[in-house]
Amino acid sequence: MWKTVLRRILLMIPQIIILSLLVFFVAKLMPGDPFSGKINPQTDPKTIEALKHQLGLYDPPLVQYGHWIQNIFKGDFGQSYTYNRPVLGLIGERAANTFWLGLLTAVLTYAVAIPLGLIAGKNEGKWPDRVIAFYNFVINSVPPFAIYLIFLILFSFILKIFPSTGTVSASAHGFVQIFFSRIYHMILPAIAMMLSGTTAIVQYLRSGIIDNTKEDYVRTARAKGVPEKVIFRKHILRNAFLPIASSLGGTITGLLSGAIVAESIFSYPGMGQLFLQSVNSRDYSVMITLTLLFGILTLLGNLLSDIIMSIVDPRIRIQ
Amino acid sequence: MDKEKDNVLLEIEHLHTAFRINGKFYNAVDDCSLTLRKNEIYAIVGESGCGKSTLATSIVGLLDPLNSKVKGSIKYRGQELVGLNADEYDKIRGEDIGMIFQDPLSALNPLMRVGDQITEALYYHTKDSEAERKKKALELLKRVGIPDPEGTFRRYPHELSGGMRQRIIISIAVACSPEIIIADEPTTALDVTIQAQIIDLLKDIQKEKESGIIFITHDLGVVAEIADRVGVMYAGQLVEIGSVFDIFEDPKHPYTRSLLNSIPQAGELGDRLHVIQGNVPPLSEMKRSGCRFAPRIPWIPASAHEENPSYHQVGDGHYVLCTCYQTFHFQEEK
Ligand SMILES: Nc1ncnc2c1ncn2[C@@H]1O[C@H](COP(=O)(O)OP(=O)(O)O)[C@@H](O)[C@H]1O
Ligand code: SF4
Ligand SMILES: [Mg+2]
Repeated sequence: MWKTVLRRILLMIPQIIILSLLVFFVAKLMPGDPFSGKINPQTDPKTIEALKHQLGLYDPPLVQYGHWIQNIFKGDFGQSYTYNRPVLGLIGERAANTFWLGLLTAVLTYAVAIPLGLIAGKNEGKWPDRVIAFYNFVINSVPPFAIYLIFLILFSFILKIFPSTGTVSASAHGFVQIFFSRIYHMILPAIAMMLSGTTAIVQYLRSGIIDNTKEDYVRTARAKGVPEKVIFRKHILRNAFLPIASSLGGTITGLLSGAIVAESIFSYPGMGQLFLQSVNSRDYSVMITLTLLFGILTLLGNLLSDIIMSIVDPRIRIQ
Repeated sequence: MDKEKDNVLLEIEHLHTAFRINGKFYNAVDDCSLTLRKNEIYAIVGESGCGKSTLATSIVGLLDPLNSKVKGSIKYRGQELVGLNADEYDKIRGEDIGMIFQDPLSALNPLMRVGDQITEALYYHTKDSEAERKKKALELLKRVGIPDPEGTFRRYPHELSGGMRQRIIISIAVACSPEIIIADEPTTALDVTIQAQIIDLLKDIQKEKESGIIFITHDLGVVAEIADRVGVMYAGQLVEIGSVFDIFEDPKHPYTRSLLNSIPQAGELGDRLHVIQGNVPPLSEMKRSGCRFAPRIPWIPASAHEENPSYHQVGDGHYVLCTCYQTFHFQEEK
């Protein structure tokens, strides 16, 4: 299997090259430049032109692309025009913030969705199932960004329980304090993002339990005299979890796209917020690097899904 | 008399099994009685939808309790099974009554190695250690004709052919040497050569363990191969019961005769002319008073039918739920 995984990783190289070309040229096609609206209108246009020449913005596109790739291999992802610092360090910092936010969101999502799915599946048609179906319906009918806004306004602005910005308070000292201060800063966006993440998992697990209970192999287990509790745990649950296992890799993509909006709304300094900022300010190097990174993470997520599936389901061979 | 009592494994009396359809209960098994003895293969034969599987699942108590009702009596060696709770039934299922299902492709858990699915049955009914269970499972695999028991033990169901899977299911059903085996169309999903092998295997196991088998099929050809006694089922009722000889040599009920004519003989398509057309009606549309088969033989005058059909003994152990057999003829006959 690991040979296949290696092959899959090698196959990702051409995909990444195509992605990089696409990203680079689409970015070039965007109207405006890093100076639009940023520069004092009194500045001599000639100075701006000179600056643009200096930045290589007038070189032929393919030459620019070549330079970019060359620099990447030297570990230089360019300079952020907005922050005036190397892209790599900037993204590294932001990526760490997003990683912790994503991890907390994922943990919360499964911690909430799995019990809900179990309860709904075991009580098909009864009141707990209906209550959970109503929860799913409500969450699904409100778009994620609206949930984020409601949370921000309600908990930060009106109730003032959670901070509306930042990752850690300046007064926190020592590991424990910093740890809790970070969680305290992340918890609001994490819960908001968690909500929209739960509904699909609840639905998968619920229908997985209901469908598998009717399967012939469950009847076989009953005919063997296996107690019902064991049948649920050993036979039904394992099969019901398959779709969730296969969606694990996809959660990476889901979390990233969630983070782009959520981080911006909650002013949480992660990759998502940085991405939107970079698009708005035409901060090419940041924007291109982030898009490429998101693309690679998505590809890795798909591969991860396939690896997980081939481990948990003997019928599936990774290919 | 005692000896006779000793021989009786299963005694079903006036069994009624109803399903809830749109809030109302309809009997899918309607007043069935039968006696299964040691060393006996009792075939239940009838068209699809006549209630064979319902009868089988009623015996092992595997019906959904919310949407079904079982009335009457099912006695295993004198112990009443109707009304047992799940825990009590779990002691009997797998240990005293083994069950084989129709579709070997879906009857095994796709995520579990077949060896573990066999030892699981032993785990709940024996005090064997893990090593002993594995040893028994390997013997069982060998017994049911699996060529490479060690290797197969570790395989997953999808790695085996349909015939091999059915052998695994048989080995699960007989793992604890149950006195009764219920096989619900165990060969229907298999191709003809595999069918014959599975039938031979079941016959061998029955002889070896002296068990009683209830063998369910819609195929009278298979009945001829395997059965000692036969119950012909139509619309939830056993319309004719007799030895395999009675049924094949001296069939009485028009339905039995029609089924017999539909058996393809030596490559031919059977006696097409003398087969009664039509289907078993769905439960909610089934006629409940008078004769249930009469609508399928409209050319027989109403006066030939009993108002409330009852069993008539027509030979030693040969019963028929019918009087019209005396005057019945196929439509094309005059
Ligand atoms: N769970 C169920 N709920 C409602 N009706 C059922 C159910 N199972 C079987 N039936 C009906 O009962 C009748 C007998 O079915 P079944 O016992 O499966 O017949 P067979 O095995 O002879 O084909 C059919 O009309 C079928 O539609
Ligand atoms: S004689 Fe008539 S009533 Fe009796 S079983 Fe035959 S068809 Fe039915
Ligand atoms: Mg059936």
